[in-house]
Amino acid sequence: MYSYCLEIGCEEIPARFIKPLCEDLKLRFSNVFQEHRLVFDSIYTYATYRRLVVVVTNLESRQTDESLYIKGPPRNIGLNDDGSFSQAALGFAKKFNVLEHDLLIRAFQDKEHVSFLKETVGLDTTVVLATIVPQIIQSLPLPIAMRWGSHTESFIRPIHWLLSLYGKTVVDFSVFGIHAGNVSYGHRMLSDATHSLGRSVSIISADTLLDQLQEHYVMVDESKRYAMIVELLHKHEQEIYDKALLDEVIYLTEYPVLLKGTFESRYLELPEFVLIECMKTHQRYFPVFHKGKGLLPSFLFVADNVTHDNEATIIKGNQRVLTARLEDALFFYKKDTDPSVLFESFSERLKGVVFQKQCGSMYDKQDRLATILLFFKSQALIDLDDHFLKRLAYLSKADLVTQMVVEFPSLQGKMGSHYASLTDDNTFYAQAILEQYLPTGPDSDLPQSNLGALLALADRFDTVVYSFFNGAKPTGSQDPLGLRRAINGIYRILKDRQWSCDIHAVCDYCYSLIGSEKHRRALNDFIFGRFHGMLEGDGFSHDVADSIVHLAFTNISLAIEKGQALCAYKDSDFDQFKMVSETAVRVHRLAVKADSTVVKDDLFEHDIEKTLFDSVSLLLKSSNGRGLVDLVAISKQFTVYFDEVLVMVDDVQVRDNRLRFLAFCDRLFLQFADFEKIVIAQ
Amino acid sequence: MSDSLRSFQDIISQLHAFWSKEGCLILQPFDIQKGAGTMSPYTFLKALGSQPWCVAYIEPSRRPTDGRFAENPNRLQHYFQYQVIIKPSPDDIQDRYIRSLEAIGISRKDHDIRFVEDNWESPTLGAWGVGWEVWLDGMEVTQFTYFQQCGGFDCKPVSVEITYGIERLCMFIQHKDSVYDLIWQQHHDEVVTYGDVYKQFEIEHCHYNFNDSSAERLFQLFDLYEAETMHCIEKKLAYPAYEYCLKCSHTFNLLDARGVVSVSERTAYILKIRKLAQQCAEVYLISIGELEPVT
Repeated sequence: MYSYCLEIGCEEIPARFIKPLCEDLKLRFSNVFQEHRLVFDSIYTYATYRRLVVVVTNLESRQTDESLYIKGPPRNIGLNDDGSFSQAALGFAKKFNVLEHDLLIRAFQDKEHVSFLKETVGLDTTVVLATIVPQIIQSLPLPIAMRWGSHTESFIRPIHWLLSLYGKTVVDFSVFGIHAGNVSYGHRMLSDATHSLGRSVSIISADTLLDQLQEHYVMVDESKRYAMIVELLHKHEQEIYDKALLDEVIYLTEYPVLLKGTFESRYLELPEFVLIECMKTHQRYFPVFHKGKGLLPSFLFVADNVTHDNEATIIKGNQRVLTARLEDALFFYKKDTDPSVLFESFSERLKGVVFQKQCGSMYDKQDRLATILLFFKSQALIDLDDHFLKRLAYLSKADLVTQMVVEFPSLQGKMGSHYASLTDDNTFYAQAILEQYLPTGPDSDLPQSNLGALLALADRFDTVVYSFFNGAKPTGSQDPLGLRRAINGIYRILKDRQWSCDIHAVCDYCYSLIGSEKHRRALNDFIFGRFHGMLEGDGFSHDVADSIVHLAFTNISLAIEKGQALCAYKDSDFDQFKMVSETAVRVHRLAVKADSTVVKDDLFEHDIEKTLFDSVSLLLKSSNGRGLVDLVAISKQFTVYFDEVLVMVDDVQVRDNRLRFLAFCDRLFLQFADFEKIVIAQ
Repeated sequence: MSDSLRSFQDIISQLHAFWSKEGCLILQPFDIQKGAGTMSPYTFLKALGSQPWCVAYIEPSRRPTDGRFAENPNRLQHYFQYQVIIKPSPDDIQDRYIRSLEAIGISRKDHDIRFVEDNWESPTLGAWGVGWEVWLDGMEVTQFTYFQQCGGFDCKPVSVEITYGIERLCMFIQHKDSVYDLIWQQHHDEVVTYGDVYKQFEIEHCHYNFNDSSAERLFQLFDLYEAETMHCIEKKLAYPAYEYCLKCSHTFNLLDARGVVSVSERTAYILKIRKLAQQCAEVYLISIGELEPVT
């Protein structure tokens, strides 16, 4: 019993892919080993930017033997009347190359079948490994697969060596034109200054890889690198640090050393988020915080090739890089915050920035945002002073022409928010300007303030409507203007705020600002499709999403509530649900023939017509407290109605009135769902 | 020679000498304005197809929006890229690259040289590849890319592209904080700096790019260049077509710098140029007999 060790030596693997790759490797090894009857204790994975390592401990040297009863024809077919084996049974024996006297009758679960005992002697583990390990390597799911040289296979990065040892024995195989062996390589630079592959190291056995590589400046185990960096961060009194950054940084080094650099304190004049952006995003540096006093003019960074001789050079080099970035940022920041220039005056410059062809400038867009915000006010989504709302609109995009955002586009919104807070006491503006770009993706944060949410909605509606007007409907995987994302954002914001918002009305309003109806229908279909998809994302089946999506056009959270109630009712009381559903569908199919919903009760001929009309009117009037249970009552009355009343009578007046009555009732059902869309299993 | 005396032109000639020894053809810059060395037909077209290709060249590159009126020590609207393209990518390319740094005085034992993920995609060229940016003590000095697709076509075999930011490297080597202070050439006591050659050029182009270009005419030029590209494509002339496609791309960049193209409209322009570039690639592959023409 020995350990098995696989090391895949690559060119630099992107940090963000390493963890998932290790998890996949572990899972695949575990599954495939079990499938192939290889018995072991545990599987460990380790990784650096240049290597993926799997160690399987206490792996038995042979596959376990296997005794398996193979199932043949059922007894009644496998045996003749006299109890001898039938032609079918003999055919089965022949197929598996066994003799008649090996056949037997055996119970499989419920039934007896012809069978025989197949005994397989386990193979040597090394033989099995040589087949399955290359298959595992080649079947790894790759987030970005690449080809290199003239190879046709792809992997995460070009592979340079494969180490494959069972104990001290090389398990031989080859993939990507590389033979597995017992040779690994030390640190690229520290282990050997003459070839960047690093010093070649003959590994003695599967258990010694980690220790042997340690001698050649490679800490294979990332948890050790992690612990070491954390300890060093603590030494610099950094108890709070960016964990995501650390998770990335441990995979950018094989032999980490934490170095400290400094920058001139005059750069601290920059907003903290700008300093952090310069350090983290661009350079993967840890900003240094002084307890309770904010940022210090220094940074910590993990270097990989540090020796006594080059440490000072490396620090100096990194300081120069950061200083150049900060100098840039400060230069632009000072231009933007020149006291002679008001932040809102940037807004004027938006007149020179085109939004979309035929849609004017970004300044015009701000104009429209102002009126859309006022429209939201008229829809009772917000109750704030007109002047206040307009001012927000005219500040919202001003940062786009500031030097900082031109230079660091990722700071759009953040920068505007900061500048607004410098020039305006009202913190609502700053927050709303920041939040207008949220959500940025399917899992990102949503606006926290009502004002931020409204501005985000106004911006998205305006963009979507204008883009459709311009014929820029997304097709296939192409969505250059991010319209799908915009609609998904509208959905998520409205759901989160639990606002009732008439999507049709907002779109109509935006179209009225253009003075055109071009592609209005296509937009509707598009929103319908997106909302449907989002509802499915919220856990509704396709048909239920179909049945409630029209409700989402007025109130998304309510649509979801109704949908959930519907599903719950369907599960708990299927028969009643089915009755309601059938009634609703019957009513709806007749209702579509009606020309209006104006009912004349003097044309009623049956009592049930009047009773039902009153009940439905009452329910339609009361705006809350209605549940599916009310529909059950109504549906029961409809059973009587359809028994007693013939709708399609010859008398045109009466017939039309009955159709109108049904259309009137149909509205009630549709408030719950479009039942026709729901699939009812028989 | 001491490092501090290594001039800008020394660095270029030493890189030429190094890559020449590695078997590369040393080519001259291509005479059309372009955003990057990748856009030279020596890369964009030659990365297509099955034939080996091994070249190095220096390429003037134009990024109108990056101009800063020579006020910023690191940003230029016109700079140089040193470009190496080898097809198929050799197994020891990383080592060759590190040796090339040593050829210009940057020793692996003195510095922290890292390969940090940076996949490259050119939306206008319909090209993408995977690779890294190379960090030299935290400074990004090189872009290293294995081409996977070019003009929408798979690269088979794969080319590797190494793009050195030649000014950055030189600033690193000469310990200068401003690109304009770089020593281009020193002859006895006579020093010519990068600024001597390019400062006025930068300032004038910045005025043009940001304030004085005629947006209206540039829009017209874009349309004309687009039409000419299409015309050449119809005539199945890949090189001329691609040259006009490059002109479209540069004209678009000028419009972009002028601030007359909206964020969302940009995408439409980029798509237009990509379509042209893809058609150029297609015509090129047909003309070298590696693609069946669609009839």
